[in-house]
Amino acid sequence: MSDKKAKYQEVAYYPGCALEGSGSAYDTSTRALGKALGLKIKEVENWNCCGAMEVKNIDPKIQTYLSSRVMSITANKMNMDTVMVPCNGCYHNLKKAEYDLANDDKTAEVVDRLSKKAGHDTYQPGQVETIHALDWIKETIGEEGLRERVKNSLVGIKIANYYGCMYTRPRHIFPEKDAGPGSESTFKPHFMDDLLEAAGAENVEFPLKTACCGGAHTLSDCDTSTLLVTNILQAAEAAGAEVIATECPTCHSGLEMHQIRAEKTLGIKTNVKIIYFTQLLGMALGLKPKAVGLHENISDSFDFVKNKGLA
Amino acid sequence: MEEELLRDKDIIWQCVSCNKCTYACPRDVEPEGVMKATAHWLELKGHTPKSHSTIFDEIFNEQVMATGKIEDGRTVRRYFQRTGQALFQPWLIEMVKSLMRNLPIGMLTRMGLANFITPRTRDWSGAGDAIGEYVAEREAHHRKALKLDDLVQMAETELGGH
Repeated sequence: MSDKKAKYQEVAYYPGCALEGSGSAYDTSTRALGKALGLKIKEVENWNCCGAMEVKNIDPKIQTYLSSRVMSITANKMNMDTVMVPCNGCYHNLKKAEYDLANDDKTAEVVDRLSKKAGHDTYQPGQVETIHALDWIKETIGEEGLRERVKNSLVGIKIANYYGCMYTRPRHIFPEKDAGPGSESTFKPHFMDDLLEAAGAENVEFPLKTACCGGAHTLSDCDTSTLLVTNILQAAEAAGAEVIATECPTCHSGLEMHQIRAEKTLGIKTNVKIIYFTQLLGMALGLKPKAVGLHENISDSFDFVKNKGLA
Repeated sequence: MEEELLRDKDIIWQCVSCNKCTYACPRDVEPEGVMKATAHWLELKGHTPKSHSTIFDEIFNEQVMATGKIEDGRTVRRYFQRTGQALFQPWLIEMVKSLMRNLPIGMLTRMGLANFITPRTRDWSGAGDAIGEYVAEREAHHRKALKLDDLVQMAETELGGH
């Protein structure tokens, strides 16, 4: 068993605020998928918001503090060394906090001050490894493991894999990526492609894998977000995709919301389905659509999955 | 410099923090931070009214300071309220209708309850206060750096003289 495979069998799980609210389907499907694969997760005790995309605009160091508290609890309260995060925003912020704390004294000093005032141990860089839900499945089960376990193959389903901005950029906060064979690429990420292909799916050549959905401005600059999302939806359809697989609650809800808004305000209708990769993998393993929270999505893909033999 | 920034002030709000520029940059320059700092500077100096984006950030931050967590329904409602927009926009209604189509009663009840029972981090007041103090300290620092209080005093003296 590889080091990572052994290390990730039991991880701390940080769902984050979106997965308690608008992204609940991602929480449901991540938990269900882990359970079906025999992997153990322990939710981070009494966690707080990571700062999302907003708090850094008030002051970046507060965002670093918020993210550091989550890692501090993982290490110092739960005695765990790995935290698994499905949300790209949370994942990005924890990675960024790790980088800033290791490389910027001023940030470390402010975080130490805030942690002491708040009454908990200051997080020390290196105590915890933050991994994405994609890393978790890829390293513990991998393509081969998935192939063995697939009950409802995704054969005949054309998928555009959409990774968004925060999973790969900026590159310096992800030192483990672009690190040779087996590592994730920041230029052309492929972990989601690999897993879904192992489950039988036919991945299309999708040029907008890491394009921006305008998530940070979903409400405050609606029109920009609608245009960016429409680009993504239309590019996926032009590439022949029936489904866009997602790995971020902000991207996912953004695509769903602005798919509806584009039809209402621009008269542009697209039919591509928007489904979390954890939902697709779960259904491939034989879980029922409701067990992976398909009913919690804003968009309706029940008929689609039924027609594809997944229900 | 100030004039040039003012000329481009509408573009500054359009940065979506996607970091594509940083990715392409051979020196890892982070224009996102510069854009955000410039935007806040324009607001602090009174060159532009508070943007919708800043109002959203503030509502978000207030909630995090108060409870440690975010409940998206509440954030959305407060945002529409504070920016004077109607909550029942046609596309939002369409979205909610689409969501309701498949949701079981239990889930709807949970969502309804979230309006009354705010998700929160336990024993958060220490952290919330520490963040609040830090924000106040930074604001005072920015006001001083931009000499905003001097400007206010100048204006007051000017008015007092008449």
